[in-house]
Amino acid sequence: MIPLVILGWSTFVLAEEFLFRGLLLPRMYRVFGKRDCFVNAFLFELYSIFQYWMVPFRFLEGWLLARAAKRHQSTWMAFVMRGVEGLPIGMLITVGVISQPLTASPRLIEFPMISTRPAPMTRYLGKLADIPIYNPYSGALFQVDLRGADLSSLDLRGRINDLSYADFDLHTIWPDKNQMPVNFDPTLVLEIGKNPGLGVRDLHAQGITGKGVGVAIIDQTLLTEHIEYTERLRWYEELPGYPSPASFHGSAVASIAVGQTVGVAPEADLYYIGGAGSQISTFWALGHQYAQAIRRIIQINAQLPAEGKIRIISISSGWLPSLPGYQDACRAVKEAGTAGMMVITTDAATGMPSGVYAEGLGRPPTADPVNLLSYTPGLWWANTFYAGTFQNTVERDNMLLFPMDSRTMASFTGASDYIFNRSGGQSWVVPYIAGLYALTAQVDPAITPQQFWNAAIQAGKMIEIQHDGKIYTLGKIIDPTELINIIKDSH
Amino acid sequence: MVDWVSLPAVLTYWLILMVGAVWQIGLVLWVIYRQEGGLSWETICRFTRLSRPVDPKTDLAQVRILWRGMRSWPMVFFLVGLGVLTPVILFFARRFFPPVFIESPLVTWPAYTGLLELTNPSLAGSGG
Repeated sequence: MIPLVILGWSTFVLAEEFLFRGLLLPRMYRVFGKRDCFVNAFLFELYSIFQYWMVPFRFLEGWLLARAAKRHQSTWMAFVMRGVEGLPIGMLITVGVISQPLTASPRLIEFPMISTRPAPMTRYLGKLADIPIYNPYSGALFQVDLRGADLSSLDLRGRINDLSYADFDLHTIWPDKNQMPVNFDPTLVLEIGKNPGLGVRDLHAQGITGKGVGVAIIDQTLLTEHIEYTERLRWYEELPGYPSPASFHGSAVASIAVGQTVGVAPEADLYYIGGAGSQISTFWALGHQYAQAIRRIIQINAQLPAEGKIRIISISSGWLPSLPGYQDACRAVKEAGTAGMMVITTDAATGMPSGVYAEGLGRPPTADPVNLLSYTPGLWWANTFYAGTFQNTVERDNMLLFPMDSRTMASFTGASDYIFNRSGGQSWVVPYIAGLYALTAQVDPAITPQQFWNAAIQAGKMIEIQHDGKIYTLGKIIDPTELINIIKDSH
Repeated sequence: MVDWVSLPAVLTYWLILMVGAVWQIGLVLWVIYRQEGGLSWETICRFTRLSRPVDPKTDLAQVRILWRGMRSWPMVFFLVGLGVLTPVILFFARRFFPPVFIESPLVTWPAYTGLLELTNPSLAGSGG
C-alpha cells in the first residue's frame, strides 16, 4: 500500500503543480496582473472542493505556492515546498500499517477467557492545603476532585457548597467529624450513590436481575478483579496496543451496567473488550477498532448457548461520519443487529430509533435515588437547560433521561475500591441503558431494540422542578418498573 | 461508487482521484501540444516554467535557490496537517457546540475522503 500511496501523492503534486503553477499562473498575470497569485489560489481552493473542509487551508497553501513560483519564475519552487506534504501522509500510513488487528479467536472458546489482567492504578494526591472551589458556571467535570486526597488536617466546616460537588473515593482521608459540615457524611453519600435508583432494586428483589443475559462492553482497560463484576466476567480481551493499567472509565461503565451492588443488571454476564482509544493507533482509527471489537463480540456470541446470548453491546463513545472508520463501525453495528444484539453508543444515531435522544440526570448527593422528584438536569447540561437552549435542540417527547450524576461506581484503584462521581457524562448513561435492556431481555427473550425504546418512551415520566424561582418541566425520565410492566404485558 | 467495489473505500476513492490527476496531466500536455506543436522535454519545461529558480535581486538562475523553498515547510506542514486533522478536531469540539451545528452536513463528510482513513488497521501488513 505504501508504494501505491506514494505514487498517488506524487501524481497529485505533479498534476496540480503542472496545471496551477505551471500552466495557469504565468497566463493569469496577463489577465489579472498583480492579483494573479490570489486568483490562482482561489482557483486551487475551488478545485479542492471535493475535500471541502480543507478549502481554507488549501487557499493559503495555494497562495504561498503561487507567490514562490512567481517570485522565482520557477514551478520547481512549488514542487520543493510541497515535498513536506509527504511527511504527514507518510506518518498516517505508518500508523495504519503498524496497527495490528485483533488476532483470530480460537474456533472453540472456553469461558471464562481472561487474556490479560491490567494492574490497578495508584492515585494518591497527598495532603491538600485546601480543597478546590466549585464553579457552577464552568461545566467542567472533576472540579472538586478529592480522590486519593489526604484532607485530615483541614477544617471543612464552612465548605459544604464545595463538598456537595466533590468526587472522592475510599482512599480519601477525611478530617475528624468535628471538622466536617454536619450535613455532609461521605460514607452516607457513597452508600446512597450505590443505588441505581428509580426502583431498579425493587426489580432485583423480584428476580429481574439480567440473569441469563449477556452484556458486552467495549471500552478502555478494565480492572478485571473488581468484586462488583469479577465473578460474572466471562471474557476479557484487549485491542492490540501497549499494555496499560486499569482505567477509571472501564470499571465505572462495567459496574454501572452489571455491578453486583451498584449495577442495573447485577446478574447479567459480562463480556468486555478493553483498550479502545488508549493507543495512538486506536485513537486515529477508533471507528475501525470498534468495528473489530464488535465483530469479535459477534464471534463470541455465536458460540454461546441460546439461553445465555449477548443481547447488547455498550460503547460509551461515539463517532461522526467524518471520523476514520465510520463506515466500518456502522457496518459492524448492522452485523451485530442481524446477530440479535443491540449496539448502544453515546451517538444518538447508533442504537436509538431516529429522533430519540438519551441524556443523564443530576441528583444532589443525599437525595433519594428512588424518588423521581430527586432528579434534576445533569450537571454538565443543567445551565443550557435552565437557559432554554438545550430544549431547542431536542424534541422533548422523544428525550429519555437516565440516572447519571452522583453515582458510586467500582474504582480502578483496587478490587474492593469505590469512587463517588458527582458529575457524570453520557458515558454513564450508555451502560445504564445496557443494564435496563438486559433486564427486559430476561423478561422477554424475544425483545427487539424497537420494542424496548417504544416501551421506554411510553413508560417515561415528566416531572416539574423549581430553579431560581421558576418552574421547569423535566423529562421524560425513565421508569424501569413501568418499562418492565409494559414488556411483561406485551410478552 | 466506493461501496460497489471490493477494495477498501479509502483506496477506491484515492484511486479515482489518481485517475483525475492523470487526466489533469494529460490536459496540460494537450494544451502544450496545441500551442507549441510538439511535446519535447524542452518545450514542456519552457511552457510550464520547469526551469532553475531565479533570484529576484540578482536575476541569476541558480539551483541552490530551491533550498529557500524549504523555509516554507513549517507553514505548509502546519496548513496541511491542520486540514487533515479537522475531522478529529471537530469530533472533540462537538461537546462545545450545539448538535445542530456540529452534526450538520456542512461539517460531516464520508470518512474515506480524508487522509486519516489511511490509518485503517485493516490495511495493516499491506505496507509492501
